[in-house]
Amino acid sequence: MKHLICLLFIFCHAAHAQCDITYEDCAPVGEWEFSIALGAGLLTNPLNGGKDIPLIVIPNFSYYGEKLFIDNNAIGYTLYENYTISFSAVSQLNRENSFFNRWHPSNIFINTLTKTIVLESLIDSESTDITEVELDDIEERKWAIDAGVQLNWFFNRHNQLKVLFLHNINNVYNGYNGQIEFDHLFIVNFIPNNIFALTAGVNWQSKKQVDYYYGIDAQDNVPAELYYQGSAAFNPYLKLNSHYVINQDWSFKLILKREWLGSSVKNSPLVKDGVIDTLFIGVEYAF
Amino acid sequence: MTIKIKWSSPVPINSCLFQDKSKTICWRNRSKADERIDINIKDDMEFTLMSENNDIYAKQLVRINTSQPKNYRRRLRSDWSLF
Repeated sequence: MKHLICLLFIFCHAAHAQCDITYEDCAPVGEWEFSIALGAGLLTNPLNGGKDIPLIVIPNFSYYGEKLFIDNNAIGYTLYENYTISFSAVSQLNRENSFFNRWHPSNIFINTLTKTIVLESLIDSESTDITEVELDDIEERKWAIDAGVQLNWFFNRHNQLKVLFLHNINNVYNGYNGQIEFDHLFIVNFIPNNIFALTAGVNWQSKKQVDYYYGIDAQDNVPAELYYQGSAAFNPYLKLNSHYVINQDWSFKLILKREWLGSSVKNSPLVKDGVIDTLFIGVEYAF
Repeated sequence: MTIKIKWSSPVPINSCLFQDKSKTICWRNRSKADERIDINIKDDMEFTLMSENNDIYAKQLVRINTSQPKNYRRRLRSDWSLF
């Protein structure tokens, strides 16, 4: 043919959920990622007799497949994803029992029988103003596993809303819990190579969850006067996460978080503090 | 993926654009075109502009190159969500 014809193709990006590693928090598809953080930090324990949890060595791992993801204590399967929305089924370990662990060294050496006698003698001697219950006086709480759904709503590269709604699946407390969280990523010009994440959120615990962990009843080794029944609780929190990239493998981490306990948790005789604080400062090595 | 197609001819022609062997869009008695169409393409593929009699007016090999050797997806849990 003698026609002079030019074909010109210009490719345009259509809507898909590909992540831009320059601007967003991305994970390579189909690869495991491991890192370990070394530093100094603390997760405060709000319970009477509960020891603060030291944060010295913190492993971090994740795997993101096309649909499946594993991210530390959570496993999920993404059912729907586009530019702005990601909807997933998830299952995760419930955090609450970490405050009830009695692995700290003092528990090994303190005789439970002695403590019981001390408690009873205090009550007998008309010290009727006892309103607190120690962690070591109550029946052991169990680890709970929850499952449910998670919605991520990406407003843009720097802001997202995350909503979690979960139900206990291993017959521990048989209730619900949820979370609404807003994340904002930002940088400041005078600290190059540093990304900040500011998070504001609310943890919600159903009455059954509050009752199981913070309620006091006949199964606990305390006088009936101290029995406590909780109701649903909202715990708001604020978190600041700083990630300074030193080189390809090393980064500097800072985490500050404060969670304010809802009144029905805070009013439990088991609880001595109305807040849970998290602080960590250290370095992280990515393998 | 959306592609933009532009072609021009000195005289009006009847033509169709083929993606490999499959017909994607046709024009009748047109001397130029400027269209956007949605396609699926994963590997290198030849696009051909042909007449009704299967005469080839033009063809173009489209190569798929990615600037990112890895495929990435957004993390769905915030950094250190354990705490």
